Amino acid sequence: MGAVRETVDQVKSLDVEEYKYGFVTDIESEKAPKGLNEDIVKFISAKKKEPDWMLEWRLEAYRRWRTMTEPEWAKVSYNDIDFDDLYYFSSPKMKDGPQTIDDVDPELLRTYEKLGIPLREQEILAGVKTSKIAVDAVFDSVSVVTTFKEELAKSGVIFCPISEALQSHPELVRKYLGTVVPVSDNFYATLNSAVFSDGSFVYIPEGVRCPMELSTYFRINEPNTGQFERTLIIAEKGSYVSYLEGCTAPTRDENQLHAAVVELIAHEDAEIKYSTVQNWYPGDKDGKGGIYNFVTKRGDCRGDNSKISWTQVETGSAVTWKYPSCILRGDNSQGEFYSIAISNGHQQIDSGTKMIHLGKNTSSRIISKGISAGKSSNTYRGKVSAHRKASDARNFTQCDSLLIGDQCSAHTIPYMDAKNRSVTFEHEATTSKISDDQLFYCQQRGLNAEEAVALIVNGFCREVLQQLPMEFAVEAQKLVGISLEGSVG
Amino acid sequence: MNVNVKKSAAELSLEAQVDAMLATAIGGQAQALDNLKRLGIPHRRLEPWVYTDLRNLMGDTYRPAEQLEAAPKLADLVDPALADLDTCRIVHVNGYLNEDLSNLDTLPTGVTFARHSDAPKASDTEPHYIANVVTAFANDILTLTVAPGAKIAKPILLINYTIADTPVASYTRTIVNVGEGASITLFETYRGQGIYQSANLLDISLADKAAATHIRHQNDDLAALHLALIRLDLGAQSNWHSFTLTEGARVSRSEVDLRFEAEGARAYTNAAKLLRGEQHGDMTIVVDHAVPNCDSEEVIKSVLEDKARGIFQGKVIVRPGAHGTDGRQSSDALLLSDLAEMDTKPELEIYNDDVQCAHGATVGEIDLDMLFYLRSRGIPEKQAEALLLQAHVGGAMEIIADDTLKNVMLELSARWLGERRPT
Repeated sequence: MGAVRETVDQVKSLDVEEYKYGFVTDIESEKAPKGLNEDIVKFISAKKKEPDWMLEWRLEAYRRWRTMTEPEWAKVSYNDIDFDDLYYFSSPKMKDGPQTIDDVDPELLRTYEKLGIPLREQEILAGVKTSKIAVDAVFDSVSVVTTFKEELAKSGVIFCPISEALQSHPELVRKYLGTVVPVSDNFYATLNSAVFSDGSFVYIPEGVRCPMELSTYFRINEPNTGQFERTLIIAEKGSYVSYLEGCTAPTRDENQLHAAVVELIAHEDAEIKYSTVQNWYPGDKDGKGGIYNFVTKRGDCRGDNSKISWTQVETGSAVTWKYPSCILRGDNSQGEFYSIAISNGHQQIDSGTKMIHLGKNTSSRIISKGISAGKSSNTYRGKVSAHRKASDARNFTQCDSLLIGDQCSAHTIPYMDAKNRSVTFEHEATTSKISDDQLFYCQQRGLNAEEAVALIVNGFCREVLQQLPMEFAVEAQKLVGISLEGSVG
Repeated sequence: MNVNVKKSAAELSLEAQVDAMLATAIGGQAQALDNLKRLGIPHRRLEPWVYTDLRNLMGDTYRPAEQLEAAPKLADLVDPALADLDTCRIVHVNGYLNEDLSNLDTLPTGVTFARHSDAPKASDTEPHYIANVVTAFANDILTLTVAPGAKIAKPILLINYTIADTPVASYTRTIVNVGEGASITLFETYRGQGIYQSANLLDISLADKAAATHIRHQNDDLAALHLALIRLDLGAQSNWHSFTLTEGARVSRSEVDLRFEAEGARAYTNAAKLLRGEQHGDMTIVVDHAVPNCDSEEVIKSVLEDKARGIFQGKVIVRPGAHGTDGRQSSDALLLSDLAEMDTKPELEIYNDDVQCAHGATVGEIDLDMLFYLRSRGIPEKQAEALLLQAHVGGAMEIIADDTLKNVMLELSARWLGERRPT
């Protein structure tokens, strides 16, 4: 009951349209000129001191992107994006690549302090913060600091911004970049391939269980700036890593674009757990402003017995378009997708997953909980397919939608393609509102309406919240309450 | 993404047919021809056709069938399983009404029958291929009207048969209006011989408190292409019970487009698919809850053998304000061979919170535990398998209230199971 009480308190302490992370950091920044052309791509590449092959790769992506059109199949509508009216690179002014935390602009550090992200290792070690998490902090287009690098390096784990990895481990980046999400994958992935700035690079060597949770915290600060993060995680044979991702942005009237690409590669017996708490600015109560979150996330279970697990809590963004997927290539590999997608106000979410069964004896599990309130629209779109040779593939899918109020909408669009006799696919979905009986039962036991709804919603999401690492689970549970604030009446 | 697809042979020949008729066509037909010319043949880049790429599957569009000079014998047209049923027959051969083979004189009181050559209501401007192609090319349009209050017990059997010595296309269009408080049973059968395309449009409207039972047996030639669209408008407190058995045609697509027009109506649309060889069978059902307090349910059972491919696309739309809606969909498929394929897409599109909507879908092989159980009781493997398959398919037939008709459908499915090749 403690958590419920906390949720309700959180809700009460907020005004109707308050977004906790909506402040702007006043910091001087360095930007590439507005618009997109080959020179901008070259500018970004030069800024990052990239090898020639990388520039060529980007340019090829850029040329291809020019020939592509925006996809229109998602159940979202938004104003056209003027791709020539965006800044594609923005970096807070600082010395050439911060080496220690003391080189980082104190204004930036204060920002992360406000966001509750620990960047000072000594504080963490001194027990100021209880848990130990390595953080890569990305501010607009660059990574400002990465913590615990040395300690991680002792176990052979590489955890650094991808731009740094291009300098220190170009052979690894070259070997894996674009092998899960090809350059030509889709409109936004191609755009990202051309102009991606920072994101994390993680390499876990054979047999290593990463000694701490890794996380990246993305922050968009500058107006009119797109953020194009690129994350690449490679887990060698028998290794394990748990990675967390969080995102916020200031409150602004304009819409901002976030188009990320995340690639995961799990070799034999390896396991990757990827958790996201996405809390970009969702726009105000009239639907003005907010982030367009168009993201391509895909994991490749390349080796036998490998496992990739996606967990996401989606509460922010004006428009979300995101399908973290698993390619189950290795025999006996496993894919999981746990999702809570909450939309309120005028938010639009079109999210789901793909489980592509290619290897023998592969299994996947999808648990998706959609909650729509206000005037929002929430779509689950998922695909489960089994290849001819994927004998004994198994999938279980459950997608439940909860509607709060009579002006929101919830859609479920599942695709199931079975090309093999020995597959077992099960799919179930329900859509309903919080039943009067449930509410009555709770209220009869002394909870007020708000507490009752919070309790029921937390129960509805429980299966997914359980999958989050502890530190995130508490935060996510609060977020669930806050996101629904104003919807109960 | 930005591909200009070259026109297929089927599209070019469709265009030629359309051009030949455009000059003289008027009204709904002209509109339909124009739609066809503009939109072409649906392909997999169009979401509703993502699993049935008609442009490729069609190969060619055939010239419209002509009326046969020598009428076939009735016994050849009717499936033996239906021969003993007491029905009122309406027979179409190659898309033309054959009054000699029909027994229209036995139409029960309360049912009237009319035949037109032009569409009595203008074609929809909606870009629906099947609606357009039938409206453009159908020769005979039939209207059946059931007077208010008339309870018609005797089933009306709509027999459609196509005989193709050379490849032809046949088109039928039927309009059924059931008056207030009236009830009717419709039984459609589709058979034929040769290479042909059969496209059929059935418009049914049920007035307040009307009821209809609808059974459909699609057993077209294994070389044929079968297209069907049923458009339904349901009045207040009306009842719709429908069962479709699909076992014929090389490629088939059956669509049901169901719309609740007033409160308190119920619609049950069930189907079973029994496919083998290289058959491709697509069942697509759209249920539009435009008004409050209506119930809908779809139960789809598929059995797929050899390289057969089954498809179920279901979509339940609950519009703003349609509170008290109860919508359920389920699709269960059994794959009997390694090369069989089942594609399922059960969609929910909901704009209202006071609803109960659910869908379930499963794909798999016969439950080996169940098989073992039956065999341990002394039932031979083949027979045990047949029992389990029969039970699987039978689950969708519970909707048929009339025992005689239900038994006919069970017999038909048993016949298909009996024809399974020993493995």
